[in-house]
Amino acid sequence: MGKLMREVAVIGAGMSKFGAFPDKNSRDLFAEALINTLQSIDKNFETKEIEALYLGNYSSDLFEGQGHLAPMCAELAGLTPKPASRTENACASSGIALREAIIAIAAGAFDIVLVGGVEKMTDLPTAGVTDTLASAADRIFEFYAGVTFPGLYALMATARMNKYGTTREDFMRIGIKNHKNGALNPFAQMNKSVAEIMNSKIAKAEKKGLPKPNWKDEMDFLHDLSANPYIAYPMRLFDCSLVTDGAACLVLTTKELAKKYTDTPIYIVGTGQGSETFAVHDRPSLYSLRSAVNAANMAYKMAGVKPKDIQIAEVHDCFTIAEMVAMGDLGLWERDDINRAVREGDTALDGVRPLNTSGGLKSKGHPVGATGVAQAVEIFKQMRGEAEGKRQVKFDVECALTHNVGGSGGSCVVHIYKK
Amino acid sequence: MADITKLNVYTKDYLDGIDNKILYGSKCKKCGNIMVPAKVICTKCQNPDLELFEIKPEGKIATFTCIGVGTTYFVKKGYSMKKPYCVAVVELDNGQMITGQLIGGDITYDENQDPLIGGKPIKVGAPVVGEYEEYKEVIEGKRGGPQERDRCRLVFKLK
Repeated sequence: MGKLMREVAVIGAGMSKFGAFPDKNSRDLFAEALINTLQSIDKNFETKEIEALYLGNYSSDLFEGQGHLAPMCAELAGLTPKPASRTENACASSGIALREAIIAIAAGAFDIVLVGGVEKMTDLPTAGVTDTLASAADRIFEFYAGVTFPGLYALMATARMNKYGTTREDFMRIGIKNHKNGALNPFAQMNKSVAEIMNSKIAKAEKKGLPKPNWKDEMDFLHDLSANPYIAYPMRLFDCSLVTDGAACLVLTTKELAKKYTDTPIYIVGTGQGSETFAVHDRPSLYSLRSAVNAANMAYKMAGVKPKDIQIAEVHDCFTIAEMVAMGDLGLWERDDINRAVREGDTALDGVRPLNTSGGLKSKGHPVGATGVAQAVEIFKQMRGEAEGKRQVKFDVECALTHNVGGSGGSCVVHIYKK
Repeated sequence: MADITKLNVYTKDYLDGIDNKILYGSKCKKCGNIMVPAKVICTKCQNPDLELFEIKPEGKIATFTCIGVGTTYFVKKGYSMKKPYCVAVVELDNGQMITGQLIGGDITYDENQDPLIGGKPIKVGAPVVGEYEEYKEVIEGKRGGPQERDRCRLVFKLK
Protein backbone atom coordinates (compact mmCIF):
# COMPACT_ATOMS: atom_id res chain seq x y z
CA MET A 1 0.00 0.00 0.00
CA GLY A 2 1.03 3.57 -0.59
CA LYS A 3 3.41 3.15 -3.53
CA LEU A 4 2.92 4.07 -7.19
CA MET A 5 3.97 1.18 -9.46
CA ARG A 6 5.05 3.67 -12.17
CA GLU A 7 6.15 7.27 -11.70
CA VAL A 8 3.83 9.92 -13.14
CA ALA A 9 4.74 13.22 -14.80
CA VAL A 10 2.81 16.34 -15.82
CA ILE A 11 3.84 17.46 -19.33
CA GLY A 12 1.24 20.15 -19.96
CA ALA A 13 -1.02 22.37 -17.87
CA GLY A 14 -3.38 25.21 -18.61
CA MET A 15 -6.56 26.96 -17.54
CA SER A 16 -9.25 29.19 -18.94
CA LYS A 17 -9.57 32.74 -17.74
CA PHE A 18 -11.58 32.57 -14.50
CA GLY A 19 -14.54 34.94 -14.11
CA ALA A 20 -18.24 35.43 -14.73
CA PHE A 21 -18.97 34.81 -18.40
CA PRO A 22 -22.68 34.96 -19.31
CA ASP A 23 -21.90 33.96 -22.90
CA LYS A 24 -19.75 30.88 -22.15
CA ASN A 25 -20.93 27.41 -21.14
CA SER A 26 -18.99 24.39 -19.83
CA ARG A 27 -17.93 23.37 -23.34
CA ASP A 28 -16.44 26.79 -24.11
CA LEU A 29 -14.60 26.93 -20.77
CA PHE A 30 -13.22 23.41 -21.19
CA ALA A 31 -12.11 24.16 -24.76
CA GLU A 32 -10.26 27.30 -23.63
CA ALA A 33 -8.44 25.36 -20.89
CA LEU A 34 -7.62 22.50 -23.26
CA ILE A 35 -6.14 24.82 -25.91
CA ASN A 36 -3.92 26.52 -23.30
CA THR A 37 -2.86 23.10 -22.00
CA LEU A 38 -1.92 21.74 -25.42
CA GLN A 39 0.02 24.93 -26.14
CA SER A 40 2.02 24.44 -22.93
CA ILE A 41 3.45 21.11 -24.16
CA ASP A 42 6.96 21.91 -25.36
CA LYS A 43 7.51 19.28 -28.05
CA ASN A 44 5.26 17.75 -30.69
CA PHE A 45 2.12 16.26 -29.15
CA GLU A 46 -1.14 15.20 -30.74
CA THR A 47 -4.43 14.78 -28.90
CA LYS A 48 -4.86 11.36 -30.50
CA GLU A 49 -2.10 10.15 -28.16
CA ILE A 50 -4.45 10.71 -25.19
CA GLU A 51 -6.02 7.43 -24.03
CA ALA A 52 -8.62 8.60 -21.49
CA LEU A 53 -10.21 11.63 -19.82
CA TYR A 54 -10.81 12.07 -16.09
CA LEU A 55 -13.00 15.11 -15.51
CA GLY A 56 -13.88 16.78 -12.20
CA ASN A 57 -17.23 18.53 -12.03
CA TYR A 58 -19.36 19.20 -8.97
CA SER A 59 -22.83 20.03 -10.16
CA SER A 60 -23.31 21.10 -13.76
CA ASP A 61 -26.61 19.24 -13.31
CA LEU A 62 -27.94 21.93 -10.93
CA PHE A 63 -25.84 24.88 -12.13
CA GLU A 64 -26.55 24.46 -15.85
CA GLY A 65 -29.13 21.70 -16.19
CA GLN A 66 -26.52 19.59 -17.99
CA GLY A 67 -25.20 16.39 -16.48
CA HIS A 68 -22.81 13.68 -17.75
CA LEU A 69 -20.07 16.11 -18.79
CA ALA A 70 -17.19 13.66 -19.29
CA PRO A 71 -18.18 12.24 -22.71
CA MET A 72 -19.26 15.74 -23.76
CA CYS A 73 -15.81 17.14 -23.03
CA ALA A 74 -14.08 14.05 -24.46
CA GLU A 75 -15.93 14.61 -27.72
CA LEU A 76 -14.75 18.22 -27.74
CA ALA A 77 -11.16 17.03 -27.29
CA GLY A 78 -11.57 14.55 -30.16
CA LEU A 79 -11.26 11.55 -27.85
CA THR A 80 -14.50 9.72 -28.73
CA PRO A 81 -14.79 6.64 -28.37
CA LYS A 82 -12.11 6.53 -25.63
CA PRO A 83 -13.02 6.20 -21.94
CA ALA A 84 -14.22 9.40 -20.23
CA SER A 85 -15.21 9.52 -16.55
CA ARG A 86 -16.50 12.25 -14.26
CA THR A 87 -15.58 12.44 -10.58
CA GLU A 88 -17.71 14.27 -8.01
CA ASN A 89 -16.43 15.07 -4.51
CA ALA A 90 -17.87 18.60 -4.17
CA CYS A 91 -15.07 21.21 -4.40
CA ALA A 92 -12.45 18.44 -4.48
CA SER A 93 -13.95 16.92 -7.65
CA SER A 94 -11.00 17.61 -9.94
CA GLY A 95 -8.36 16.95 -7.28
CA ILE A 96 -9.89 13.49 -7.11
CA ALA A 97 -9.93 13.28 -10.95
CA LEU A 98 -6.19 13.99 -10.86
CA ARG A 99 -5.65 11.30 -8.21
CA GLU A 100 -7.68 8.71 -10.15
CA ALA A 101 -5.71 9.51 -13.33
CA ILE A 102 -2.41 9.11 -11.47
CA ILE A 103 -3.54 5.74 -10.09
CA ALA A 104 -4.63 4.61 -13.59
CA ILE A 105 -1.24 5.49 -15.08
CA ALA A 106 0.68 4.02 -12.15
CA ALA A 107 -1.33 0.80 -12.51
CA GLY A 108 -0.43 0.57 -16.19
CA ALA A 109 -4.00 1.00 -17.46
CA PHE A 110 -3.01 4.01 -19.58
CA ASP A 111 0.19 5.82 -20.61
CA ILE A 112 -1.22 9.25 -21.45
CA VAL A 113 -4.26 10.75 -19.75
CA LEU A 114 -6.05 14.10 -19.95
CA VAL A 115 -7.29 15.41 -16.59
CA GLY A 116 -9.78 18.24 -16.47
CA GLY A 117 -12.02 20.22 -14.18
CA VAL A 118 -14.88 22.51 -15.13
CA GLU A 119 -17.69 24.45 -13.45
CA LYS A 120 -20.11 27.03 -14.80
CA MET A 121 -21.68 28.65 -11.74
CA THR A 122 -22.92 32.11 -12.65
CA ASP A 123 -26.13 31.22 -14.51
CA LEU A 124 -28.06 30.82 -11.24
CA PRO A 125 -29.17 33.64 -8.91
CA THR A 126 -27.33 33.90 -5.54
CA ALA A 127 -29.94 31.87 -3.61
CA GLY A 128 -29.68 29.07 -6.20
CA VAL A 129 -25.87 29.05 -5.97
CA THR A 130 -26.12 29.05 -2.14
CA ASP A 131 -28.53 26.08 -2.19
CA THR A 132 -26.49 24.15 -4.78
CA LEU A 133 -23.28 24.57 -2.76
CA ALA A 134 -25.11 23.79 0.49
CA SER A 135 -26.20 20.47 -1.02
CA ALA A 136 -22.60 19.34 -0.45
CA ALA A 137 -23.24 19.77 3.29
CA ASP A 138 -25.39 17.53 5.48
CA ARG A 139 -28.95 18.19 4.34
CA ILE A 140 -30.74 16.75 7.37
CA PHE A 141 -28.46 17.78 10.21
CA GLU A 142 -27.00 21.09 8.93
CA PHE A 143 -28.91 22.53 5.96
CA TYR A 144 -32.29 22.24 7.72
CA ALA A 145 -30.81 24.14 10.67
CA GLY A 146 -30.05 26.99 8.24
CA VAL A 147 -26.32 26.47 7.72
CA THR A 148 -24.87 27.73 4.44
CA PHE A 149 -21.39 27.02 3.09
CA PRO A 150 -19.88 30.25 4.41
CA GLY A 151 -21.74 29.35 7.64
CA LEU A 152 -19.92 26.00 7.99
CA TYR A 153 -16.51 27.63 7.68
CA ALA A 154 -17.69 30.46 9.94
CA LEU A 155 -18.35 27.80 12.60
CA MET A 156 -14.69 26.74 12.25
CA ALA A 157 -13.59 30.40 12.35
CA THR A 158 -15.45 31.13 15.60
CA ALA A 159 -14.00 27.95 17.11
CA ARG A 160 -10.44 28.90 16.10
CA MET A 161 -10.87 32.48 17.40
CA ASN A 162 -12.02 31.06 20.71
CA LYS A 163 -9.24 28.47 20.98
CA TYR A 164 -6.19 30.31 19.58
CA GLY A 165 -7.03 34.01 19.87
CA THR A 166 -7.21 34.40 16.10
CA THR A 167 -8.71 37.80 15.26
CA ARG A 168 -10.90 38.99 12.42
CA GLU A 169 -7.85 41.05 11.31
CA ASP A 170 -5.93 37.79 10.81
CA PHE A 171 -8.61 36.63 8.39
CA MET A 172 -8.42 40.03 6.64
CA ARG A 173 -4.62 39.68 6.29
CA ILE A 174 -5.10 36.42 4.39
CA GLY A 175 -7.63 38.07 2.06
CA ILE A 176 -5.32 41.03 1.43
CA LYS A 177 -2.39 38.69 0.69
CA ASN A 178 -4.34 36.49 -1.72
CA HIS A 179 -5.81 39.48 -3.56
CA LYS A 180 -2.29 40.90 -3.89
CA ASN A 181 -1.16 37.67 -5.56
CA GLY A 182 -4.27 37.43 -7.71
CA ALA A 183 -3.68 40.99 -8.95
CA LEU A 184 -0.54 39.61 -10.62
CA ASN A 185 -2.35 36.65 -12.25
CA PRO A 186 -3.90 37.43 -15.65
CA PHE A 187 -6.14 34.34 -15.34
CA ALA A 188 -7.63 35.47 -12.01
CA GLN A 189 -11.26 36.54 -11.71
CA MET A 190 -10.52 39.41 -9.30
CA ASN A 191 -7.08 40.42 -10.45
CA LYS A 192 -7.14 43.47 -8.22
CA SER A 193 -5.60 44.10 -4.82
CA VAL A 194 -7.91 45.10 -1.97
CA ALA A 195 -6.36 48.61 -2.16
CA GLU A 196 -7.29 48.83 -5.86
CA ILE A 197 -10.85 47.73 -5.09
CA MET A 198 -11.06 50.30 -2.28
CA ASN A 199 -9.77 53.09 -4.53
CA SER A 200 -12.17 52.21 -7.32
CA LYS A 201 -15.06 52.39 -4.82
CA ILE A 202 -13.87 55.84 -3.68
CA ALA A 203 -13.63 56.98 -7.30
CA LYS A 204 -17.12 55.61 -8.00
CA ALA A 205 -18.60 57.47 -5.01
CA GLU A 206 -16.95 60.71 -6.15
CA LYS A 207 -18.24 60.28 -9.68
CA LYS A 208 -21.78 59.78 -8.41
CA GLY A 209 -21.46 62.86 -6.17
CA LEU A 210 -21.87 60.71 -3.03
CA PRO A 211 -19.98 61.49 0.20
CA LYS A 212 -16.37 60.33 -0.20
CA PRO A 213 -15.65 57.33 2.07
CA ASN A 214 -12.80 58.12 4.47
CA TRP A 215 -11.07 54.72 4.58
CA LYS A 216 -7.48 55.22 5.76
CA ASP A 217 -6.10 51.97 4.38
CA GLU A 218 -7.05 48.42 3.31
CA MET A 219 -7.62 47.29 6.91
CA ASP A 220 -9.85 50.29 7.59
CA PHE A 221 -11.83 49.53 4.43
CA LEU A 222 -12.24 45.88 5.44
CA HIS A 223 -13.46 46.90 8.93
CA ASP A 224 -16.31 48.93 7.42
CA LEU A 225 -19.44 46.78 7.71
CA SER A 226 -21.11 48.61 4.82
CA ALA A 227 -18.17 47.86 2.49
CA ASN A 228 -17.36 44.43 3.93
CA PRO A 229 -20.49 42.96 5.56
CA TYR A 230 -20.76 39.67 7.43
CA ILE A 231 -21.90 36.97 5.01
CA ALA A 232 -21.73 34.57 7.95
CA TYR A 233 -20.17 36.07 11.09
CA PRO A 234 -17.18 36.10 11.52
CA MET A 235 -16.68 35.55 7.76
CA ARG A 236 -17.22 38.73 5.75
CA LEU A 237 -17.56 39.35 2.04
CA PHE A 238 -13.78 39.64 1.62
CA ASP A 239 -13.26 36.37 3.52
CA CYS A 240 -15.27 34.40 0.95
CA SER A 241 -14.10 32.93 -2.34
CA LEU A 242 -15.93 33.88 -5.49
CA VAL A 243 -18.68 32.41 -7.62
CA THR A 244 -16.80 31.60 -10.79
CA ASP A 245 -16.94 30.09 -14.27
CA GLY A 246 -13.77 28.30 -15.29
CA ALA A 247 -11.91 25.19 -16.38
CA ALA A 248 -8.41 23.75 -16.11
CA CYS A 249 -6.55 20.78 -17.65
CA LEU A 250 -3.39 18.71 -17.25
CA VAL A 251 -1.76 16.09 -19.45
CA LEU A 252 -0.18 13.24 -17.49
CA THR A 253 2.13 10.50 -18.65
CA THR A 254 4.80 8.15 -17.31
CA LYS A 255 8.26 9.27 -16.28
CA GLU A 256 9.73 7.33 -19.22
CA LEU A 257 7.48 8.89 -21.87
CA ALA A 258 7.59 12.42 -20.43
CA LYS A 259 10.95 13.36 -21.96
CA LYS A 260 9.54 12.76 -25.42
CA TYR A 261 7.24 15.75 -24.88
CA THR A 262 9.25 18.12 -22.69
CA ASP A 263 12.71 18.56 -21.16
CA THR A 264 11.16 19.91 -17.99
CA PRO A 265 8.33 17.64 -16.79
CA ILE A 266 7.01 18.01 -13.25
CA TYR A 267 6.71 14.74 -11.33
CA ILE A 268 3.85 13.93 -9.00
CA VAL A 269 5.61 11.98 -6.28
CA GLY A 270 2.83 11.73 -3.71
CA THR A 271 -0.94 11.49 -3.70
CA GLY A 272 -3.20 11.13 -0.67
CA GLN A 273 -6.88 11.31 0.08
CA GLY A 274 -9.03 11.29 3.18
CA SER A 275 -12.55 11.71 4.47
CA GLU A 276 -14.12 13.46 7.45
CA THR A 277 -17.55 13.24 9.08
CA PHE A 278 -20.22 14.86 6.94
CA ALA A 279 -21.51 17.22 9.61
CA VAL A 280 -19.14 19.65 11.34
CA HIS A 281 -20.74 18.92 14.75
CA ASP A 282 -19.60 15.26 14.61
CA ARG A 283 -15.89 16.13 14.50
CA PRO A 284 -13.46 15.79 17.40
CA SER A 285 -11.94 19.15 16.44
CA LEU A 286 -13.86 22.14 15.09
CA TYR A 287 -10.74 23.72 13.51
CA SER A 288 -9.03 20.73 11.89
CA LEU A 289 -10.06 18.26 9.18
CA ARG A 290 -9.04 14.64 9.61
CA SER A 291 -9.55 14.23 5.85
CA ALA A 292 -6.71 16.70 5.24
CA VAL A 293 -4.45 15.29 7.94
CA ASN A 294 -4.91 11.78 6.52
CA ALA A 295 -4.47 12.91 2.89
CA ALA A 296 -1.30 14.82 3.80
CA ASN A 297 0.22 11.97 5.78
CA MET A 298 -0.48 9.55 2.92
CA ALA A 299 1.07 11.91 0.35
CA TYR A 300 4.12 12.78 2.48
CA LYS A 301 4.81 9.09 3.12
CA MET A 302 4.49 8.17 -0.56
CA ALA A 303 6.71 11.07 -1.61
CA GLY A 304 9.24 10.47 1.16
CA VAL A 305 9.19 14.15 2.11
CA LYS A 306 8.43 16.09 5.29
CA PRO A 307 6.33 19.25 5.69
CA LYS A 308 9.56 21.28 6.06
CA ASP A 309 10.54 20.27 2.49
CA ILE A 310 7.48 22.00 0.99
CA GLN A 311 8.60 25.35 -0.47
CA ILE A 312 5.29 26.59 -1.90
CA ALA A 313 1.70 25.33 -1.76
CA GLU A 314 -1.68 26.01 -3.26
CA VAL A 315 -4.15 25.42 -0.42
CA HIS A 316 -7.94 25.37 -0.50
CA ASP A 317 -8.82 28.89 0.74
CA CYS A 318 -12.54 28.77 -0.07
CA PHE A 319 -12.74 31.03 2.99
CA THR A 320 -9.85 32.80 4.70
CA ILE A 321 -10.24 30.55 7.78
CA ALA A 322 -9.74 27.53 5.49
CA GLU A 323 -6.18 28.68 4.71
CA MET A 324 -5.42 28.68 8.46
CA VAL A 325 -7.00 25.24 8.89
CA ALA A 326 -4.85 23.98 5.98
CA MET A 327 -1.63 25.43 7.42
CA GLY A 328 -2.13 23.32 10.54
CA ASP A 329 -3.54 20.17 8.95
CA LEU A 330 -0.66 19.96 6.45
CA GLY A 331 1.86 20.35 9.28
CA LEU A 332 3.38 23.39 7.54
CA TRP A 333 3.08 25.45 10.74
CA GLU A 334 2.31 24.47 14.33
CA ARG A 335 -1.32 25.27 15.08
CA ASP A 336 -0.40 27.76 17.81
CA ASP A 337 2.11 29.47 15.47
CA ILE A 338 -0.35 30.17 12.65
CA ASN A 339 -1.56 33.58 13.93
CA ARG A 340 2.06 34.75 14.06
CA ALA A 341 2.84 33.33 10.61
CA VAL A 342 -0.10 35.20 9.11
CA ARG A 343 0.74 38.46 10.93
CA GLU A 344 4.44 38.37 9.99
CA GLY A 345 3.91 37.48 6.32
CA ASP A 346 5.42 33.96 6.32
CA THR A 347 2.91 33.03 3.59
CA ALA A 348 3.36 36.12 1.35
CA LEU A 349 4.89 35.94 -2.13
CA ASP A 350 8.22 37.05 -0.59
CA GLY A 351 7.71 35.11 2.65
CA VAL A 352 9.44 31.96 3.90
CA ARG A 353 6.80 29.69 2.36
CA PRO A 354 4.43 31.41 -0.11
CA LEU A 355 0.87 30.07 -0.09
CA ASN A 356 -1.54 30.58 -2.97
CA THR A 357 0.74 32.48 -5.32
CA SER A 358 -2.09 32.21 -7.87
CA GLY A 359 -4.34 34.37 -5.71
CA GLY A 360 -6.05 31.28 -4.36
CA LEU A 361 -9.75 30.60 -4.50
CA LYS A 362 -10.26 33.99 -2.88
CA SER A 363 -8.95 36.06 -5.77
CA LYS A 364 -8.23 33.70 -8.68
CA GLY A 365 -11.78 32.39 -8.27
CA HIS A 366 -13.40 29.10 -7.28
CA PRO A 367 -15.22 27.28 -10.08
CA VAL A 368 -15.63 24.39 -7.65
CA GLY A 369 -15.10 21.43 -9.99
CA ALA A 370 -12.09 23.07 -11.69
CA THR A 371 -10.27 24.20 -8.56
CA GLY A 372 -8.19 21.08 -7.82
CA VAL A 373 -6.68 20.95 -11.31
CA ALA A 374 -6.22 24.73 -11.43
CA GLN A 375 -4.09 24.45 -8.26
CA ALA A 376 -1.85 21.94 -10.07
CA VAL A 377 -1.64 24.30 -13.07
CA GLU A 378 -0.19 27.03 -10.80
CA ILE A 379 2.36 24.64 -9.28
CA PHE A 380 3.40 23.45 -12.79
CA LYS A 381 4.02 27.05 -13.86
CA GLN A 382 5.83 28.06 -10.66
CA MET A 383 8.12 25.01 -10.71
CA ARG A 384 9.07 25.66 -14.34
CA GLY A 385 9.60 29.39 -13.72
CA GLU A 386 6.74 30.22 -16.07
CA ALA A 387 4.24 32.01 -13.80
CA GLU A 388 2.94 35.09 -15.60
CA GLY A 389 3.21 38.62 -14.29
CA LYS A 390 5.36 39.28 -11.27
CA ARG A 391 4.02 36.42 -9.18
CA GLN A 392 6.84 34.00 -10.09
CA VAL A 393 8.59 33.20 -6.80
CA LYS A 394 12.21 34.33 -6.60
CA PHE A 395 13.70 30.94 -5.69
CA ASP A 396 13.99 27.60 -7.45
CA VAL A 397 11.04 25.41 -6.41
CA GLU A 398 12.11 21.79 -6.01
CA CYS A 399 9.15 20.55 -3.96
CA ALA A 400 5.56 21.82 -3.81
CA LEU A 401 2.11 20.74 -2.62
CA THR A 402 -1.56 21.16 -3.52
CA HIS A 403 -4.43 20.74 -1.02
CA ASN A 404 -7.99 20.49 -2.35
CA VAL A 405 -10.95 20.18 0.03
CA GLY A 406 -14.48 19.01 -0.80
CA GLY A 407 -17.49 20.38 1.05
CA SER A 408 -16.83 21.45 4.61
CA GLY A 409 -14.00 18.92 4.73
CA GLY A 410 -15.81 15.64 4.01
CA SER A 411 -13.23 15.05 1.26
CA CYS A 412 -9.63 16.14 0.91
CA VAL A 413 -6.92 15.28 -1.60
CA VAL A 414 -3.24 16.28 -1.38
CA HIS A 415 -0.56 16.04 -4.08
CA ILE A 416 3.19 16.55 -3.85
CA TYR A 417 5.30 17.62 -6.82
CA LYS A 418 9.04 17.46 -7.58
CA LYS A 419 11.21 18.44 -10.53
CA MET B 1 -16.66 -7.35 11.60
CA ALA B 2 -19.84 -5.30 11.72
CA ASP B 3 -22.92 -7.35 10.87
CA ILE B 4 -24.88 -4.75 8.92
CA THR B 5 -27.99 -6.98 8.88
CA LYS B 6 -28.40 -6.13 12.61
CA LEU B 7 -29.08 -2.48 11.74
CA ASN B 8 -32.05 -1.40 13.84
CA VAL B 9 -31.89 2.39 14.24
CA TYR B 10 -32.55 4.60 11.23
CA THR B 11 -32.27 8.34 10.48
CA LYS B 12 -36.07 8.31 10.15
CA ASP B 13 -36.34 7.37 13.85
CA TYR B 14 -34.40 10.51 14.72
CA LEU B 15 -36.52 12.74 12.46
CA ASP B 16 -39.78 11.20 13.75
CA GLY B 17 -38.50 11.88 17.27
CA ILE B 18 -37.94 15.58 16.51
CA ASP B 19 -41.45 15.78 15.00
CA ASN B 20 -42.72 14.34 18.32
CA LYS B 21 -40.55 16.80 20.29
CA ILE B 22 -38.09 14.20 21.50
CA LEU B 23 -34.33 14.41 20.84
CA TYR B 24 -32.99 10.92 20.22
CA GLY B 25 -29.45 9.77 20.37
CA SER B 26 -28.49 6.18 19.85
CA LYS B 27 -26.72 3.95 22.35
CA CYS B 28 -24.49 1.07 21.34
CA LYS B 29 -25.69 -2.17 22.91
CA LYS B 30 -22.11 -3.49 22.81
CA CYS B 31 -19.85 -0.67 24.04
CA GLY B 32 -22.37 1.78 25.52
CA ASN B 33 -21.24 4.67 23.27
CA ILE B 34 -23.90 7.41 23.06
CA MET B 35 -24.28 9.25 19.75
CA VAL B 36 -26.31 12.39 19.06
CA PRO B 37 -27.95 12.97 16.62
CA ALA B 38 -28.88 9.28 16.49
CA LYS B 39 -26.43 7.37 14.30
CA VAL B 40 -27.13 4.06 12.61
CA ILE B 41 -23.74 2.40 13.28
CA CYS B 42 -21.61 2.84 16.41
CA THR B 43 -18.98 5.50 15.74
CA LYS B 44 -16.61 3.78 18.21
CA CYS B 45 -16.93 0.03 17.52
CA GLN B 46 -18.95 -0.06 14.23
CA ASN B 47 -21.61 -2.24 15.86
CA PRO B 48 -24.97 -1.73 14.09
CA ASP B 49 -27.01 -3.08 17.03
CA LEU B 50 -28.09 0.16 18.71
CA GLU B 51 -31.03 1.42 20.71
CA LEU B 52 -32.68 4.84 20.76
CA PHE B 53 -31.77 6.93 23.75
CA GLU B 54 -33.61 10.07 24.81
CA ILE B 55 -31.42 13.13 25.44
CA LYS B 56 -32.28 16.43 27.09
CA PRO B 57 -31.68 19.19 24.53
CA GLU B 58 -29.54 21.29 26.88
CA GLY B 59 -25.93 22.30 26.79
CA LYS B 60 -23.59 25.12 25.84
CA ILE B 61 -22.54 26.86 22.63
CA ALA B 62 -19.45 25.14 21.14
CA THR B 63 -19.31 27.50 18.16
CA PHE B 64 -21.71 29.68 16.19
CA THR B 65 -22.23 31.88 13.14
CA CYS B 66 -24.68 34.65 12.22
CA ILE B 67 -25.78 34.22 8.64
CA GLY B 68 -26.59 37.16 6.36
CA VAL B 69 -26.89 35.28 3.06
CA GLY B 70 -29.18 32.39 3.96
CA THR B 71 -30.63 29.33 2.32
CA THR B 72 -33.83 29.71 0.27
CA TYR B 73 -35.95 28.42 3.19
CA PHE B 74 -34.58 31.06 5.56
CA VAL B 75 -34.73 33.84 2.95
CA LYS B 76 -38.43 32.99 2.49
CA LYS B 77 -38.84 33.28 6.27
CA GLY B 78 -37.71 36.91 5.95
CA TYR B 79 -34.03 36.67 6.87
CA SER B 80 -31.53 38.81 4.95
CA MET B 81 -28.26 40.73 5.29
CA LYS B 82 -30.24 43.30 7.29
CA LYS B 83 -31.93 40.59 9.38
CA PRO B 84 -29.38 37.80 9.94
CA TYR B 85 -30.06 34.56 11.85
CA CYS B 86 -27.77 32.68 14.20
CA VAL B 87 -26.88 28.99 13.94
CA ALA B 88 -25.00 27.32 16.79
CA VAL B 89 -23.25 24.02 17.29
CA VAL B 90 -24.37 23.04 20.78
CA GLU B 91 -22.37 20.73 23.01
CA LEU B 92 -24.98 18.75 24.92
CA ASP B 93 -24.50 17.80 28.54
CA ASN B 94 -23.19 14.35 27.55
CA GLY B 95 -20.49 15.91 25.32
CA GLN B 96 -22.15 15.19 21.97
CA MET B 97 -22.76 18.04 19.54
CA ILE B 98 -25.73 19.08 17.40
CA THR B 99 -26.48 22.00 15.06
CA GLY B 100 -29.52 24.23 15.45
CA GLN B 101 -30.77 27.78 15.03
CA LEU B 102 -30.35 30.06 18.05
CA ILE B 103 -33.55 32.05 18.50
CA GLY B 104 -34.54 34.76 20.97
CA GLY B 105 -34.56 38.09 19.17
CA ASP B 106 -32.98 40.02 16.34
CA ILE B 107 -29.27 39.74 15.60
CA THR B 108 -27.41 43.05 15.89
CA TYR B 109 -23.73 43.98 16.13
CA ASP B 110 -22.18 45.94 19.00
CA GLU B 111 -19.49 48.65 18.65
CA ASN B 112 -16.79 45.95 18.42
CA GLN B 113 -18.76 44.33 15.58
CA ASP B 114 -19.55 41.32 17.78
CA PRO B 115 -23.03 39.81 17.53
CA LEU B 116 -25.92 40.17 19.98
CA ILE B 117 -29.21 38.27 20.03
CA GLY B 118 -32.11 40.20 21.51
CA GLY B 119 -29.47 42.59 22.91
CA LYS B 120 -27.50 39.82 24.67
CA PRO B 121 -23.97 38.87 23.53
CA ILE B 122 -23.55 35.47 21.86
CA LYS B 123 -20.52 33.72 23.33
CA VAL B 124 -18.88 30.32 23.04
CA GLY B 125 -19.64 28.47 26.27
CA ALA B 126 -22.99 30.21 26.89
CA PRO B 127 -25.61 27.79 28.29
CA VAL B 128 -28.58 27.11 25.99
CA VAL B 129 -31.77 25.11 26.14
CA GLY B 130 -33.61 23.51 23.21
CA GLU B 131 -37.21 23.90 22.16
CA TYR B 132 -39.25 22.64 19.25
CA GLU B 133 -40.51 25.02 16.58
CA GLU B 134 -43.56 23.78 14.68
CA TYR B 135 -43.89 24.31 10.95
CA LYS B 136 -45.79 22.98 7.96
CA GLU B 137 -43.82 21.06 5.35
CA VAL B 138 -45.29 21.08 1.87
CA ILE B 139 -44.80 17.78 0.06
CA GLU B 140 -45.34 17.59 -3.68
CA GLY B 141 -47.95 14.82 -3.70
CA LYS B 142 -48.14 12.47 -6.65
CA ARG B 143 -51.92 12.65 -6.74
CA GLY B 144 -54.18 15.47 -5.65
CA GLY B 145 -51.46 18.14 -5.63
CA PRO B 146 -49.18 19.30 -2.80
CA GLN B 147 -49.91 18.11 0.74
CA GLU B 148 -49.06 19.70 4.09
CA ARG B 149 -47.39 17.82 6.92
CA ASP B 150 -46.81 18.96 10.53
CA ARG B 151 -43.12 19.00 11.32
CA CYS B 152 -40.83 20.29 14.09
CA ARG B 153 -37.35 21.80 14.14
CA LEU B 154 -35.06 21.72 17.15
CA VAL B 155 -33.94 25.28 17.96
CA PHE B 156 -32.04 26.69 20.94
CA LYS B 157 -32.40 29.71 23.25
CA LEU B 158 -29.89 31.30 25.61
CA LYS B 159 -30.64 30.16 29.19
